[in-house]
Amino acid sequence: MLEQITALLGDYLLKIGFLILDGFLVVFLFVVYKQALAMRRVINDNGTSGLINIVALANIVIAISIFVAALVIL
Amino acid sequence: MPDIFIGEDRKPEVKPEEIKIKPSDKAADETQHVKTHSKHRHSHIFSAYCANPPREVVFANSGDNEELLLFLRRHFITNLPWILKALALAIIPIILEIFNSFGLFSIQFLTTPDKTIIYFFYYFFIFGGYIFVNYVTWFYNISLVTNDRIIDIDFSDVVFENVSATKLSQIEDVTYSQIGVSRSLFDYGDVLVETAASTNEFEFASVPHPEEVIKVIDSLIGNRRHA
Repeated sequence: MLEQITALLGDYLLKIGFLILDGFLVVFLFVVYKQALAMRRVINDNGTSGLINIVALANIVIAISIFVAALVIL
Repeated sequence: MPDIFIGEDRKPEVKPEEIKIKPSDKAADETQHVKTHSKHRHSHIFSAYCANPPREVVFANSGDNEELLLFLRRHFITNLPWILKALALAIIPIILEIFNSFGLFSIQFLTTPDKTIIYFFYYFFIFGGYIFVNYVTWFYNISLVTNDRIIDIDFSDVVFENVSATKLSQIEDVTYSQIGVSRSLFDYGDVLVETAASTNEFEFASVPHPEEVIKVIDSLIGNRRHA
């Protein structure tokens, strides 16, 4: 009984810990994206700056997808 | 269109010592020299030194007649420490799996879907977070030399952003230091630009070909003074 409770508690802790970490990563990547946008206004190397912004945005989308996947799978 | 091979109506020859170039012409000549005699004219995602970059490179508050002559970043080799750290972090799960298979370390409490999502998150954190942020930090740490100003754009730790600029007429001295084996080997160093204001110093840290940078800035300052 105690072992089952411990295992269940461990699972929940793992899930909550993972979701918190991923949440922080989403926020951090959002800050990176905003800064990349701001820097593009300072200096714009036409092709490359745009590419960086796209990658920054893609990172946010992937991080949110991981968050959703973790909610479902873990 | 006049034919240059027809020898009629030739102007009287002028001896070399009689040719006097106006200072403004000299400045234009020097700018032209920088634009045409450089080997590093292409800009790409890993370029750290670009002389006469393409017109697509634009910066905030640029003047109407302002031309970009040098576009500098830290030498790409300075990124080696974080690249090595990222590689080391990337092989940790592989080592864990090897240990797990030999029974030296157990991660049996994790199911396959758990492991999949955790490893995916881990590698995403390395590539999307660590590597990307370090790359962006390197990418947006830029120094610019135009025919009118010197601009230093500092970007670090994602949240720190500082842009400083000075007119060429305010520059007093330009020096560079190239200390260390790797700096000599890969030809990069720090260029220090001292301005009239006592507190204002511009440091182009770890830029490639510092000698060429000095030459360009020196010639621009010299031409300004002559003008």
